[in-house]
Amino acid sequence: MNVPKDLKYSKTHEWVRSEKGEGVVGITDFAQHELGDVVFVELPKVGQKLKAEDSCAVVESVKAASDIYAPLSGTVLRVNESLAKDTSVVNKDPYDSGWFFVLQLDPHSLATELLSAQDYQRLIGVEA
Amino acid sequence: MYKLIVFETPPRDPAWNMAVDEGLLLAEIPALRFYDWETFSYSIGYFQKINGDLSLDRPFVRRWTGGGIVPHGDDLTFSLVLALESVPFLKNIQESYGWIHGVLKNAFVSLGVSAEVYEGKSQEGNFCFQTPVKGDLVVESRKIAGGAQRRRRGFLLHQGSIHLENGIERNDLIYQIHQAFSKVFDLNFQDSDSMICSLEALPFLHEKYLSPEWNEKF
Repeated sequence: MNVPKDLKYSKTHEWVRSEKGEGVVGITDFAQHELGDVVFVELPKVGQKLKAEDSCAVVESVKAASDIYAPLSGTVLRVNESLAKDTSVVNKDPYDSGWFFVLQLDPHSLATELLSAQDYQRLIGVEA
Repeated sequence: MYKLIVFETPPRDPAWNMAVDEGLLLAEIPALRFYDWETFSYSIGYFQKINGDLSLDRPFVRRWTGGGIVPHGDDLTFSLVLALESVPFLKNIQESYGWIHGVLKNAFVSLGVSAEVYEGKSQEGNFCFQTPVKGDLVVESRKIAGGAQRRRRGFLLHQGSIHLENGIERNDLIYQIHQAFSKVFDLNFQDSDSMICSLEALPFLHEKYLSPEWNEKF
């Protein structure tokens, strides 16, 4: 199970790559494995304000619609519009081309409250 | 043993039927509910597109769960809300269908019907009962039960539809499904009125499932 060391993780299996007040968000390799083949993705709207743990996206796989959560608070700056045409990258490349949206992080939204790669590996029961 | 509330609601309109199921999941109430439809209707999957090729000859309601188009009126419909922690096979979606349909299989087998959980290759189609997909319940490769799910905050809602074939009586099958679930859960039978009253969001949810904003979402 791939858990990149340079990312932060939520307990609900989203990852965040934060830099200069922005956070790129997607779902983890573990999440895509548990979901199975993703066939639809509904993303938040650009400009939408999200609080940490808000339900903000939906994915469908194996006839199941699953909620995806905001790992941090912020405003949606960009969404990955290419997912409307090709959802398979969520499974094939979850940490790169399978990203979901970018947040302008609220100043008080601290990435330190998220899990490190090591803690996330422990959560999903994978040895570091 | 985890508790599971069991109840049955009388035939109602499609929007109300969907609203109760969403209400159960929002309230995170582990429950098994059987229900009927007062009119022949379709439910369509959360992401189903209604423009273009899709032409339906009955009223329809958009589900909160995924999947395809399901005709209702002649089927036995049920919903199941469970905490993902309550059974070892629920976290993985594909495995969860196999587990739930394994319980249904035991009910059918008790009635002398040799049902099996389908392990073959999935073939996608708009209509749910056209062809079986992996994890459906089949009799001689013919699909007799399928389901779709919504998952949020550690719980799942499974909406299932069962074809009453092979001379099976509705109430006999419901009884056997209760028996099959009682091997895994501590069943707590409740009357419909008290369960419905406990769902505070129900009026709001009923309006949602009646609205074009919801039903024509995609």
